[in-house]
Amino acid sequence: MAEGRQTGATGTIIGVSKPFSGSTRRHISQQIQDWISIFLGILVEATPFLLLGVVVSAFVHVFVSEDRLLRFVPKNRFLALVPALGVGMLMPVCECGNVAVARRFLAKGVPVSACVTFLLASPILNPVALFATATAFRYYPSMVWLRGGLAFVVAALVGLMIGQWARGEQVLASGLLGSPELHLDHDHEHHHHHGDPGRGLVSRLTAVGNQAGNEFMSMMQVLVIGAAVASATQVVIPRSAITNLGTGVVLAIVAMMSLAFVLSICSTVDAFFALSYSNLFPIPALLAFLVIGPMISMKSVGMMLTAFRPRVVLALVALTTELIFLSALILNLRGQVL
Amino acid sequence: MTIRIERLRARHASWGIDIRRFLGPFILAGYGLFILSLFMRNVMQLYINPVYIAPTTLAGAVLVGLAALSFARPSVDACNCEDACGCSDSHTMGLHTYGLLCVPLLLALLFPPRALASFSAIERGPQAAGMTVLHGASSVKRVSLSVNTKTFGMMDWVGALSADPNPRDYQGKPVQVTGMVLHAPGSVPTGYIMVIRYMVTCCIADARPVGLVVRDTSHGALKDNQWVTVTGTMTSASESGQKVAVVAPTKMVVTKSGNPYMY
Repeated sequence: MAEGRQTGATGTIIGVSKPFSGSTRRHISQQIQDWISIFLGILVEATPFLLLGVVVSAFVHVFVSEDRLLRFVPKNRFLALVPALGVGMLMPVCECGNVAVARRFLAKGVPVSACVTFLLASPILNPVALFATATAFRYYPSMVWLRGGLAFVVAALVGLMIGQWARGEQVLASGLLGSPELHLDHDHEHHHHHGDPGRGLVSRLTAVGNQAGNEFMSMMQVLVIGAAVASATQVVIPRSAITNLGTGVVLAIVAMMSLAFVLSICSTVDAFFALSYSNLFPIPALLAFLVIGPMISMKSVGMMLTAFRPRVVLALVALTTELIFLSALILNLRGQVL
Repeated sequence: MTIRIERLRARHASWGIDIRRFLGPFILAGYGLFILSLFMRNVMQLYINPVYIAPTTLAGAVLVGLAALSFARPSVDACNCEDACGCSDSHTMGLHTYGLLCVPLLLALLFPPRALASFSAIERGPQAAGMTVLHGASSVKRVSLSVNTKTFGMMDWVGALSADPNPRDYQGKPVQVTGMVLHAPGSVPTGYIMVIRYMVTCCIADARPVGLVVRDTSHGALKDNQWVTVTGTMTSASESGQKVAVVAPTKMVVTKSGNPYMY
């Protein structure tokens, strides 16, 4: 043990004449190693969810024609949200998987408002996430309906606002607009991959496989960037720098929302994480964490850019953040959840 | 001369298409094999909670299958798809995109899976059982006279102290826990160290460092990241005017590093 102390001391002395001391080098080395571990951890964890999302998307692409899909979507923009929320509740995936599905719906001509609502609501309103919330917050059962209710309201409002503001091709990412994988033009001559009854089942399943593989890679590239940034933030910014913000209610909500954005934790387990902060922050701050995390995070914003134009994503982020912040603040001021 | 240049251009163009055609499936297979190798080497739990190992491994196998399917599909020319819906999308991706997708695979190749060390515990703020209310510990055992605490692992102690942090209820109870040493001057009383593990719910991005406060009988000889098995009894110490449960060790043995995660 004495030897260990000697080595440490030598490292400090050497450090005087060198740009980085031994402890600084060790610190940087640990930082990089932990960054790599967290980065790969996020990717490994997200892979099955992302794959499920792209496979569902590929099935919709190949087996469901635009006409058939649009038959289920009411013309009324308010009623159009109902099937979007319904599909969201049936998709047991977190935000990694649902972007691919939302992209597909957009490309098939489903109204923008319904797609945005689906995108924002499905990671929270799915049964797995709600069950996890109920399990984690056994001591505060109202958290389940508060989380679900707020997610529903925010997703519907943001969807309607974005849908009102911009329609059709105005919102689509340039990559998506020009991409041959998706079909905005329903009159093109290349129908053999989607709903052509003349094609055999095997060739259609092959098309599903190819489509899923391609889409997996195009979504993975943004997930890689999002995971890299999220994990870098985790090893660079001490968590106390964020949590120490939360002295008042307003700052507590800001702190928890920032934490959710930075951490990019999967929506199916974030309730357990939020629970560990329940002794530090009030319920509205935890609620804000649970609602914004699955909707907007470092990981998901990049993925949204594969579906929407940057200014639409910016508007989506701003509206969602504002609505959640104000809702949490109002709930706190009204004292309904304290 | 012009003809030769045109031929070279054509050859280069065909190489470009071929490279892109095979790069996509190659990378897909890479991701699939990376995941399968984690499973085969039994190290996937260093990244994710074991609950997710089965679906993740299945995803790895599916990715390898999708890669094989992509390898087998005809080229763009053979398919004659002008807009290439679904069957030739890979040729629309730039080489820089493939490069980006290779980064995680290269990192996985160069750096073997490694658990988080004390550095991340300090960054995340270690939580001492008995001093902080720790939620999310799945196995909570109530300590009573009928419970033999010798069998308690770290998770059991964290659960018990979260449910009932009163140190008097644990006075004299035997303790034997193994974990990583962490000096956390701001978090524990002077002269004490923490022996910690990480609680992981989904993946290591959500890992939370939790542990017991232990009297440092090594007088500073133990370093961060060292693994120790602490044997002793529960007692109490004063921290900010409050009594908190701490371990009074009778023996601290440095042990081989293990998996620091509790799921």
